[in-house]
Amino acid sequence: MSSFIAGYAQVFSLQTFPFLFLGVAGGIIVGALPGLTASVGIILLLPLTYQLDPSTAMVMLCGMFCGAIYGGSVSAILVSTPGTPSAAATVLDGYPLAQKGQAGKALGVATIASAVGGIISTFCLIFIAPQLARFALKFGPEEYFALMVFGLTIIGSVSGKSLTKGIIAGLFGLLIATVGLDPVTGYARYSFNIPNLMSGFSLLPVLIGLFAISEIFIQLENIAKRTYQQIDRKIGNVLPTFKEIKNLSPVIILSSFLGTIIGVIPGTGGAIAAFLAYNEAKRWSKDPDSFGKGNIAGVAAPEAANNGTTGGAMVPLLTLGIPGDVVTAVMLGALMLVGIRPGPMMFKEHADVINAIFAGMMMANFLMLVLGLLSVRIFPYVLRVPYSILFPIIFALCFLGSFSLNNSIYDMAVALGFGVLGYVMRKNGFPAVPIVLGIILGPIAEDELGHALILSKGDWLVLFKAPIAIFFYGLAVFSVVFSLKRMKGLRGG
Amino acid sequence: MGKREIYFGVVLLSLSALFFGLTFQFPRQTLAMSPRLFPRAISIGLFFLAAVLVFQGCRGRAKGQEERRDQTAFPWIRFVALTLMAFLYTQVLAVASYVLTTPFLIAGLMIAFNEKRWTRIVTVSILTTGVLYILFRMVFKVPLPRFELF
Repeated sequence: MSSFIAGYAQVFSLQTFPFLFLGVAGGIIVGALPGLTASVGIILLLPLTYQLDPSTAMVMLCGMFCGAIYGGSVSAILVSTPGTPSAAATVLDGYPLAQKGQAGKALGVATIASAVGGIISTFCLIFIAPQLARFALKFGPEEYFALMVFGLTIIGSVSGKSLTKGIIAGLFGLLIATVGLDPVTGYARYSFNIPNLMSGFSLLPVLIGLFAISEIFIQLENIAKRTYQQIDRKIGNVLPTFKEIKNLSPVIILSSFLGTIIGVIPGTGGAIAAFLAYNEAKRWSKDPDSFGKGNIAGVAAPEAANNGTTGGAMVPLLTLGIPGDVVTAVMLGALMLVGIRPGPMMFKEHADVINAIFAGMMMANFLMLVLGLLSVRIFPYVLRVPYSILFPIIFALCFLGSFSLNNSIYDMAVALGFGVLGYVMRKNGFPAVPIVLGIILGPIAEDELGHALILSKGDWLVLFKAPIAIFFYGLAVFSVVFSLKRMKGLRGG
Repeated sequence: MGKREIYFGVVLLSLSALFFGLTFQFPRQTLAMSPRLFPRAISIGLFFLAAVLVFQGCRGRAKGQEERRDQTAFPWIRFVALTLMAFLYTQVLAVASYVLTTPFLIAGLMIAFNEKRWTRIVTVSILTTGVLYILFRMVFKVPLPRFELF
């Protein structure tokens, strides 16, 4: 109990609360703008994390996470374009509601459902994570190596349409990570005696390049096609009636738990949870034919589920160090940047950060509820920001952010290089997330493998003797088979 | 799957072969694990998958399954201009200072993004430079490049 109180005390302190506010408010705006995702929002905040203590930094990023996932519903409802992939299902009934003049009610229900989803999933995070961490404390290097292998097989789940291209991207990320000092022997690989290459590629410029700068290049391509949306929807009444809330409560609560469970499974995410929840809500509805034509439950279900994934996705990230979804893959990078390796030891060595994250996630959802309901009427103006102003500012911010890491022009060039590379790869069907997973998890896997072999005096069989390790290898095989079947299903239609 | 997959596959085959070849410069086994091990394993995996990609591309072409690409003309000029501007910025920044170079970068980016109003370009460039200066230099205490020429 005292640790909870300490966490809340930290979150409400003058040092931390403004950054939580910044994270949530910024997240809602980022999520509302099509073309910017939660991942990009977190990357934009990464340069700030260097100036803050780890607890405050993570609270701010959690605020951005929760806010951005909710913010996607704004443009989904007002202009039929999901601001984030997680809000794709919200379009189905949200936009028809807006067309009927009930945009305000749709936004109000989306806000409440998102907050409830986030709060429920945070409770689950608070109760599940410490138990799982206690179990994971028994892991030795063999178990960690097997866990990293499982983490790397998640690549298949985030590979989009082509498993081959996804795995290639992951292997490419692993290869990039080998540039620089070998984590076991300290030998400088692929450095060609260039001092900058001896330390490899810094994670921050790589993240900025692959996600933010490549996205800006993609938006540059779209600028020729984009028409300036005139948003003249009347917002109207925002708060639903008590009877409406009562009728929607079962949908919201069940969708929240569904989202939490989906979020815990590594490699899934808000989009999958949202569509599953939408389908279930439609299936159990007394009036399924009204879905797709403006049924308010068709907004509540996906929004509760997608914010339900936020707490769930943090469970594998914090306890095992493997990301639950795309956004937590970027958060994994953020934790590494602030010098914290997520995993069970984090609960021992950085308990203050864990408590702050728990409290921060909880307060972020309450703050999101308040801010969302208060600012519903200004959302149409947010969506009117010209992209010719927005993206150059983001580019300059990203560029300067990558410089600020080491006061290094080289890092800016790395960010630009990875931006071009990321753009070329994404345009040709190679996803960016597996590259990041490869870059982050590869060195950890190699390090743990080295430790295991040193302790066993070179006996490779030690990797297959621990039951927990065998369990993770089994999960890895299952993950690959599942991905193959999913890809087959996607291609078969 | 089609021509592009074949091109990418060939590039990746070459890249993986290059990375594998370079591992011969690394020392042999030192402790329990050699610095060569991981790069070699990854290069071999990448080589294999690149070959699969080439195969998929060839099969796709043979079946006439070339994916329809978006027919909108790719804005090569904007893309190259933006990349060159950003690269030039990195080269000039250290010498000409953040304050002098950044407004031009932002202005160039806005033009690349189809902004036509000069008042807006000038205002946003200067304001953004100022705000970012305050944020990084004064709030975060990040030393930004100063004028070096004299």
